Amino acid sequence: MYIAINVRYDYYYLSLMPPIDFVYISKFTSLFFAAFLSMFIFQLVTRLTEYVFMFHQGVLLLSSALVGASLALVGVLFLPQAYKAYYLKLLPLLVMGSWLVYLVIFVTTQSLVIHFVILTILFGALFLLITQNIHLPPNQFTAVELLGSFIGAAGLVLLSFFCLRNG
Amino acid sequence: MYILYTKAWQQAWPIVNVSLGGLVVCTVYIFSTFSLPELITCPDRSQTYKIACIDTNDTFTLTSSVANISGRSDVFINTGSDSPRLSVYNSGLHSGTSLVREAYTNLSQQYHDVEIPPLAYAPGSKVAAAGASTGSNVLTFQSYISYPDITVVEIDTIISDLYQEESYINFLPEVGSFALVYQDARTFFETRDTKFDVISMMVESVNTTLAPFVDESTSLVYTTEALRTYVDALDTDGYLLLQQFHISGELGDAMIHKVLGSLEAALDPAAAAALQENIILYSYAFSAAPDAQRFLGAIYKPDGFSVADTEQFTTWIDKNNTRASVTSGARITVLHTPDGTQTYDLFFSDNKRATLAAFSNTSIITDDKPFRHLVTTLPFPRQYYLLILLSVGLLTLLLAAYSKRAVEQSSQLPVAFGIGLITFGLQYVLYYKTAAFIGTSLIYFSVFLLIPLFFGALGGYFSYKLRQWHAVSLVVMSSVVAGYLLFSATLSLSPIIVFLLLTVLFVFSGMVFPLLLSQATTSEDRLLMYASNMGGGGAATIMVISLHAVIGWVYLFSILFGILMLSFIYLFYLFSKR
Repeated sequence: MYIAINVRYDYYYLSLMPPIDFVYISKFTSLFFAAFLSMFIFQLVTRLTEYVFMFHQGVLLLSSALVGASLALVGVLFLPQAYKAYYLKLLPLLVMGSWLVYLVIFVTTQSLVIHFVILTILFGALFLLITQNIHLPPNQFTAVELLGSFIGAAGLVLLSFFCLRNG
Repeated sequence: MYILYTKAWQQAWPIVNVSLGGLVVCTVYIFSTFSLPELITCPDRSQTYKIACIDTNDTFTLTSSVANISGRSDVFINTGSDSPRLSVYNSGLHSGTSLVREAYTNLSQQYHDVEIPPLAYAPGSKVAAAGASTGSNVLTFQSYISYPDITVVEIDTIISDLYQEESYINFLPEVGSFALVYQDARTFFETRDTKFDVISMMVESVNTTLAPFVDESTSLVYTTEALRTYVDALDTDGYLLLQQFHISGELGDAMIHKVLGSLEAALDPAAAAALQENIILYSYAFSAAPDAQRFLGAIYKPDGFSVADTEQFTTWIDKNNTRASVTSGARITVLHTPDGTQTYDLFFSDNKRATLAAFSNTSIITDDKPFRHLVTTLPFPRQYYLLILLSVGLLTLLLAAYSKRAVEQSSQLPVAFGIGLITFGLQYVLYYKTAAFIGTSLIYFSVFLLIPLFFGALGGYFSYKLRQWHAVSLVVMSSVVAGYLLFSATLSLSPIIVFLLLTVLFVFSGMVFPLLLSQATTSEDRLLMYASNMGGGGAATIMVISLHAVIGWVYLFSILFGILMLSFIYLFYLFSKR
C-alpha cells in the first residue's frame, strides 16, 4: 500500500530544490525546523494580534494572512528560474527581515491592511520554507510538518507561561 | 539560529548580514527593556479601547506586566483621583479596577457601588461571582453584606499573581475572606448542586470599534442554556445580577433584547410570564460626557423584590441623582422597575418588541448560535469579506494560470481547497463547541490548535498504513464520536472525555490531506495542492463564522463532518487503487 515517491526525480524536476544548503542530519530535519519556526512565529503573532486587535479582527487578520501566504507561494512559481533559485536561498533572511518589519509595524500602526500585507509576506516565506520538503512521502511530510508545528506552538505556550514573567 | 543552520547568510552581501544582525540586537534590547504598553503607539484613540490607546502619566503608571497562558496582564496604579486605584488589563482589555480596601467601607457613589446596587441582601448570604474584577466585586459585596460567604470563579490566574506583590495587597480583599476557584463559570455551576443567594457576573465586552458591528465576544457562558443553569443555582429569594456594555441607540436596545430574551427563554413559562414584575434594569456611565461608555445592569429575583429591596434601590438612585452634577459624576438611568413606575416598553410591549425585531437582530443567544452581541445580519463589516474574497479570487486565478503550464493534477486543486476549508473549518467549529466556554480569545484558540496539530500529525503518518478494515473502523468510530458530540452537552462532560473525543476526530481529519497529496506524482503538483489547501484553510474561518451565525452549530458541524467523511472515503478509494 505504501507509495514510494521518486525523491531524486522530483528533486531535480521541480528545480526548487535544493535551494538551501542544509546541514544534512536527516531528511526530516529541515522540514521539522521550518515547521517549528512557522508555528512558533504564528503563536507569537497571535499573542501580539490579540493584544491590539479585537477578537474577530484578529481571526480575520490571521485567516487572510494564510490566504495571502498561499498567494505568495504560488506567485513565486512565476518568477524566472534564476531569480527563483537565488530568492529561495535567501528565504531564512527574508523570514527574519519580514519579522522585524512586522514588529515595527505592530508597535506603530493598527492598520488592518498594513498588518495583512506584512503577515502575507512573513507567512508566505515560512510556507516556502516548509514546501521545500514537499518531495517527501506525503504521510511523512504531513506528520513531520504537524509535529514540528506542535512542538513550536507548545514551546511558545510553555515559554510564555513559565519564563516571560514581568517582561 | 535558523539562519546559521541553513547557512543562508552566506548567500547575502556582508552589509545585509551586518544590518540584520544589528537590527536583531536592537530589537532584543528594546523588547527586553520596555513592556508592550510602553512601546505601542495608538495613532487614533477612537480606533480601539484596548490598552494600546492608554496614556500613562505621572499619576497613572504601569507597575507590572505579567505573561501567562491567556496572553498578558498589565497592572496599572492610578494615584490621580481621590482614592488610589489598581487597574488590570488582560491582553489589552480592561478587566477590573479596585480602590484601596479602606475606600469600600463607606461606598458612596464611587466606581463600584454604581455597578452593583445595595439591596436587601441577607446577612451571611452565599455569593458567587463569575469573574474576579480585580477583587472589586468581592470588596463591594463585603461592604454591602454582613458576613458574606463569597466564592469567585475565575479562569485568569492574575489574582494569585497580584497577591504576590506587597504593593497590591491593600487593593485586594483580605486573604481568606473569600474562596477563589479557577474554573470556567458555567462548568462551576453545572457540576455543583449548591444554591446561592446572589450570583453576579459581567456578561461580556463589546466591540465598539466596528460600529454597527457589536459581536466582540462569543462564548457559551452567557447563552440561554447557561442562564438556565445559573437560575437553577439561585435560591428562590436570591438575586441574579447581570451587567454588560451598553451602546446607545437602536443597537444598544437590540443588545438588551438579546439578554432579556435569553433570560426569558431560560425560565419556565410561569416565571417567564412574570419576568416584568421580577426584574430591575438600569443603565449607567462613570462620567457626564455625552460619549461616555454606558453599561447595562439587570437584576432578576425569581420571587419578586421586597419592599426593603425597592427602598434601598430608590435611595441609591436618589442619592446618585442628587450628588451627580451637570458636568461630572456617575449617571444612572433607570430603565425598568418591577412596580411599573418605569417600564422598558421596547421589550415588554409586544408591538414595540416586534418593531425593533424588524430592524435589528434580537434573537436569543443559544449554545447553537452563541454570538452574543450579533445585532447585525453579518458578523463582519463588508470590507472584511472583500479582503478575503479578493485574496481567494487572486489565488484561484494564479492557480488556474499556472495549471495551464505544466501541472498534471490541476483537477484536484479545487478538492485541495475544499479540504482546507473543511479541515480548518472543523477545527474552528470544534473549538466553539468544546473550548469557547473558557473565553473566546485568539490566544485560547491558538492553544487549542495544539490538539489538531499533534493528533493530525499522527493521522497524517498513519494515513499510508491503513488497511481497508482500518479505514472502515475509523469511519465508524469517527461517526459515533461526531454523533456523540452533536447530541451531548459537552460542557457537562469531563474534560478528559472531551479531549479523547477530539483526538479521534483530529486523527481522522489529519488523514485526509496526505491521501490527496498521494494523488500527485510531482512535487510541483504537491506544492500547488499545499497552497490551495492553505488558501482554503484561510477562508475557512470567515465561512464558519458567517454560516455559524445563520444555520447554527448543529447543522454546520453535521455538514462539515459529512463532507469530510465523503472526502476520506473517496480519497481512500483512489489511494487503494494505486
